[in-house]
Amino acid sequence: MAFTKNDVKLSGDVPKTLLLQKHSDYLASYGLNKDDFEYCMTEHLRMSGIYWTLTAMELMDQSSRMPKEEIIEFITSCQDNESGGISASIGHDPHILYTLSAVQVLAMYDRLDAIDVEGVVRFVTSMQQEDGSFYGDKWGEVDTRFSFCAVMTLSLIQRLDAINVTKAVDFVLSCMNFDGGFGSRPGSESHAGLIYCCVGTLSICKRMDALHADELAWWLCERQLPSGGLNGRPEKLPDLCYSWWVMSSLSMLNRIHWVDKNNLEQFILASQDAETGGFSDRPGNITDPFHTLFGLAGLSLLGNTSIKRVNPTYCMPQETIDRLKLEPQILHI
Amino acid sequence: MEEDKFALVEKIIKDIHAVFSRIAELRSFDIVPVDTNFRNKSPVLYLENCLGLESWCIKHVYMYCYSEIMDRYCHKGRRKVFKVSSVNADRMIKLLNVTLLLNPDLSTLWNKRRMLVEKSMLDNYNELHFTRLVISRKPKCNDAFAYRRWLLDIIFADKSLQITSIRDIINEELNICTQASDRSPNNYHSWNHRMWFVNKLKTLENPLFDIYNQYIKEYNFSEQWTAKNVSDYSCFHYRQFCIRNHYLLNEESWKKFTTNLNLRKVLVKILAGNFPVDSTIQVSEENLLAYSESNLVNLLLYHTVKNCSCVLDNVYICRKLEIIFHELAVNNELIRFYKHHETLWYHRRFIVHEIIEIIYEHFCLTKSNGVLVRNTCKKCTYDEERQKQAKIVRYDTNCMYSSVLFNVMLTHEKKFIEEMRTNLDNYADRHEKYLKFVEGLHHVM
Repeated sequence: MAFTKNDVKLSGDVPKTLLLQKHSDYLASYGLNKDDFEYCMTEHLRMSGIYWTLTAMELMDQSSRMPKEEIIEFITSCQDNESGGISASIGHDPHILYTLSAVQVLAMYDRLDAIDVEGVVRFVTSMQQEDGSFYGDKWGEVDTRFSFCAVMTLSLIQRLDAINVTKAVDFVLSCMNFDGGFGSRPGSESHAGLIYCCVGTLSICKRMDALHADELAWWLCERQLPSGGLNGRPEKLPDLCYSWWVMSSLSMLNRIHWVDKNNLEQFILASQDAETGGFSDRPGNITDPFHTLFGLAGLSLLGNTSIKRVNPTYCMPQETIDRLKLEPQILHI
Repeated sequence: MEEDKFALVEKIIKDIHAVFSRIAELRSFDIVPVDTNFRNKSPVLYLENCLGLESWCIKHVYMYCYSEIMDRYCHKGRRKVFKVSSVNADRMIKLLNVTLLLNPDLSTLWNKRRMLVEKSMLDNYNELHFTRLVISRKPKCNDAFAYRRWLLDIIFADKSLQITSIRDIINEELNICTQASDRSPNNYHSWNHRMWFVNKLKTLENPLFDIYNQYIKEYNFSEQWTAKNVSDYSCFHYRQFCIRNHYLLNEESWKKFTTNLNLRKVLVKILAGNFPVDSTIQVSEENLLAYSESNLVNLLLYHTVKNCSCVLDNVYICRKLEIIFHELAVNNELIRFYKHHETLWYHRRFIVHEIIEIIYEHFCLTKSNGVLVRNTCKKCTYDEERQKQAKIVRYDTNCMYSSVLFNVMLTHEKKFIEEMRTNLDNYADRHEKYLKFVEGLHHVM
């Protein structure tokens, strides 16, 4: 599309090969200085930071470089005895977002025994509302992201039966728009990140049949721009994290071949920083662990064999999902 | 040296607190890029209801305030025994103000404010002022919008709330959304919040408050806003929300809305320009303008295949058509003027989808897994005998395809696609493909 305005141009000197060692070094040294300003500014999402970093390391088969026992001890100390929920960091309030991150990390380490699992079940079930939706914490904000967190968390600890799955699915479906996409609440605009959450919820609850698959896949494919990158909504700039959210959704819909894989691969590779290591949102920007995970996971979905296979629903290594005997649904065409 | 630094931070906290005594008047907050403390003056700036903080002090101030809050008020284990009293709440609030201004993504600190509101140590309305300040700097801060929703739920739960207060709250809330949408294009959170707010207004029980009037205001606002922001799909999505609300206008508000506006004229113009060539329709534009709603709907969708005896509300259908065809006419003009805008073409998909839905509903059809199936009547749940279904669907589908409205829509779309193709708008081809394969019109296009 020659007239697309919001896009980037890949210059000639961008990385064209995968710099695995660089990324592993980058993540291993990330956040070592615990007194610095940036570390302090991001403490409120520390638990997710650990999940992004560890998953990226796992996919590169480099997780031995992470301080395993320290991480597990940290997670244990972030669980709130009263509610059972887990917080982003010590002293912060428990929230369903970080409860999921913690459970994902412990599932990869096969150390779910490090937390009070019944407490997690208690917390997640207490978040479900009459209409099937989920609060993120006790203060009552509703979002389809929280529905996904709830079902993913419970499925990882084999306790999906603890909530009303039918109602959870009904709520997610009530957020579907005419274009087949989903937003954060009923009537909210379609957004690729939230589409991933909603499709993921249906995948775990084995209700992929309820999707308007063709409409949705059509919308998702139109996220690809001439640079090869994907945006999350119309006329927005491409961003590496959408190579995960769009591609994982298309994988669950069994329509990954609807995008130009080669172009996308070039865009992802171009978003690496050859000096510092890591991936950024788009070529030339500063890297971070979040985009590093989604860059690697995206490449895994595209079939890169130097990275472990990632599960499109859970965004975790397929081997972990197999070990837990989980079978998230993929749509059969 | 360290002690000097601490004294300086304490001074800054005090200065900010002094400005906060005028919180109701404060309009915006920002960090002003100043590399060093060369003037040896307070980095707290206050000018024309705007609060500023020089950037050189941010790191010290943030680290100092954040550490103290976490250590004193959020320490795990001690948190349960920590009791807020009016004495220590004062210190806590000062620190919360500064820390959240600098880093508004700290959900835990917003929760601390909620707790203080519940204990009446913070005032609901002052809290709305504080979040306005945060949003002025970070217009995409969802935590701040979420906090406003929480506060507004409490404020609106008071059934004795006077109509003047309600009006003030509405003005303020919509203004804040407008500003945040203006500062940050495609602002998911500000538009989502606006939708939440209008939906919240629907639940108000004050008899002096007229929700229909609010629908009209938002409809007019969104029409102006979208025309000026043709790359911002978030505002077009909001426009779609307004259009759906507009279908619900009652008799009185519809009259008020159409006093200076002839929607019928727009509809009739498109109809007359796209009637089927071989048709026997012998009505002039002038006649169509004078048609009753019922007569017009009968002309456009003459075949009715209902087997139950529910009466169709032709007035309602006609108004819906007038609204949506007005939108189509506006969209035509915008696409002609601003070429190559995906947002405008996406909005067109919504418009076409709405028209098709009106037709499907009239013919009791619905699309399921890409094929049309017979729908039960929405009003009385009259259901067909299953074995007859396939045959009936084919018959109904044919009736639907031969209806005047369907043909007008199809002809109009084809002509427009052709016109834009010659205009070199590359989204025209994509629109055609979309109609064929996603809307499922491939066998009639």
